Amino acid sequence: MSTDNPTYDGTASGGDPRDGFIAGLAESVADIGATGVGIIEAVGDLLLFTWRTLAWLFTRMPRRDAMFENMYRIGVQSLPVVAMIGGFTGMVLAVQSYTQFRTFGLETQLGSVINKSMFRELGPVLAAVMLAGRVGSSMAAELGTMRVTEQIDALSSMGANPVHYLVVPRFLSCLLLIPSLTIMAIFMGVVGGAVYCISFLGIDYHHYSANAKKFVENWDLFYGLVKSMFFGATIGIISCYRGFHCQPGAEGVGRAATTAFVYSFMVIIVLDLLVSIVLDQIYLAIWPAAPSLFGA
Amino acid sequence: MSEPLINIDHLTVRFGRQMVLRDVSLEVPRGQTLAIIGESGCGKTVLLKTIIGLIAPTAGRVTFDNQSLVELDDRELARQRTRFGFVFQNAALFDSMTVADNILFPLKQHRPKEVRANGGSGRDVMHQLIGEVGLPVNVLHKYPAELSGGMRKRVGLARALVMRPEVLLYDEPTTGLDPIMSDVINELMLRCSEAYNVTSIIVTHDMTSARKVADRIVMLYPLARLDRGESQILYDGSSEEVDDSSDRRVSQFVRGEAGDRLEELQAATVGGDDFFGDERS
Repeated sequence: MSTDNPTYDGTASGGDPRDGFIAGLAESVADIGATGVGIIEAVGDLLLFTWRTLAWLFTRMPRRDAMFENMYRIGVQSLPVVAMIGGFTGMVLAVQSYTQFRTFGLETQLGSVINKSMFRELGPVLAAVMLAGRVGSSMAAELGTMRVTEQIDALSSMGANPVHYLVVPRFLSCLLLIPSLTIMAIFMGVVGGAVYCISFLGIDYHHYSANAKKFVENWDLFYGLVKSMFFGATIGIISCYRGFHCQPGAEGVGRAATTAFVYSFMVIIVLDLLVSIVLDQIYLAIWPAAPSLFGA
Repeated sequence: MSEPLINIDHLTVRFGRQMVLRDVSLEVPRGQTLAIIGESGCGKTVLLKTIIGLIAPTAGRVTFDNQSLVELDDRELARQRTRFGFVFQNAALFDSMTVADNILFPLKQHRPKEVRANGGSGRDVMHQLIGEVGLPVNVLHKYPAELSGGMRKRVGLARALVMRPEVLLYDEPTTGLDPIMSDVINELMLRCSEAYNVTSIIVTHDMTSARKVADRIVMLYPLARLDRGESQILYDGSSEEVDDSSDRRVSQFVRGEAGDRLEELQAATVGGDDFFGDERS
């Protein structure tokens, strides 16, 4: 038996009646509108993806072996790079600031500037940028390849939830381990700055350390770690989202990896400003006299 | 007549402006082996993924055992999907896992009663399946990248069978394989249908495979211009009768003859440009 035979209309369509300036203008407006709708859709989709990821944290935690594997890859394997970047950043800060401070005879104050910068800004941001570049791109490429080769569909077809299985362990690992990476970046920056100032610039150790302790408070460490957790969550979500929505082919995977880093970095910079403003307001409002971290 | 296990009712699937399937209706009774044939890009894989709920219909309804999978909550959807086995075109094995871990994955994920009752990890089931699909035990420790295409397909089949599914979905199971290995896969599909009494849906271009394995053949065909898709069912009948179809498009497809297809493709090309480009002039 055979069903009703549908007819095939193989003819090409006729000429497009819409031409001329008005039609071109209308198409441009339509394109702008479509871009706007696309952006709103993408943001909405990202928020839904974030919601689905967060919802799993309250329903079922990921398997322990998946967590350990991701924590090792995201946290432990990132430590050497973050340590090196942190150490050299501390030294570069010393080099850049020394000439200016010496002009005013304030070179013994270098420690306070280096430490404050590392605790509040450079430690969290450096750790986040390293995580986005080293881990975020890799996660997007890995998940993108899984999407392209139908491995994510295979997971779904076997009754596993891909968000729970693939995204939640990566997100949690980024969120929980970025504070450790930040502490490492801060520590190495402080040590790097101190070693350069004392050993190469000849600044007196006692004056340097006294000033370094004087201006750094517990709040500064808290400030840096809170920021870093926002950054870690951002990297986890954006990288996984880009991987999940990867376009087909090798180019699609490459683009997913690149956009994961670029979007993460852009959001990190914006969040850096917003979280800094909020934390400063909180500090001024409820905790104006925090004790020094080093008890100076 | 008994209730169909899978019922596709006026299904339409659209991705953005691209309509892939239009108003497709199909019933698959329990125990039947159905082959879905059709040209590349006509929406066969989309239809297969819609059946298991990986793609949501734009219009119409797909039900499995009288329930629509896309309307179920996550927990129930996961439970229902254990009743399916899906053999993907390139097997879709997890790169980061060994063959053994790939096959055991559904068991670890769902821990079915049978496995728990035996107090095991399902390794006995895995060894039995590896033997059934004709793979040596030493592949269990290998990674998918170390396997040939035929081996990957057979591992994919073993993974699909590990939960003892009621329905097996095959996406182009013989594509990219040599004739001998294609026939091995065909034999395996036949044996699975008989041994496990599963309902099978096979998406394929391979008429030898469709004739050999399927009880029934459905051909999808783009109703509108080729670049716009809109596939509908052109032929729905037994695998024996497909060769005698009076429809020119069906007979051309089953004989593998292009006929006037090239002219149709050129006529359907947007703006009059064809794929020969400037070189043709």
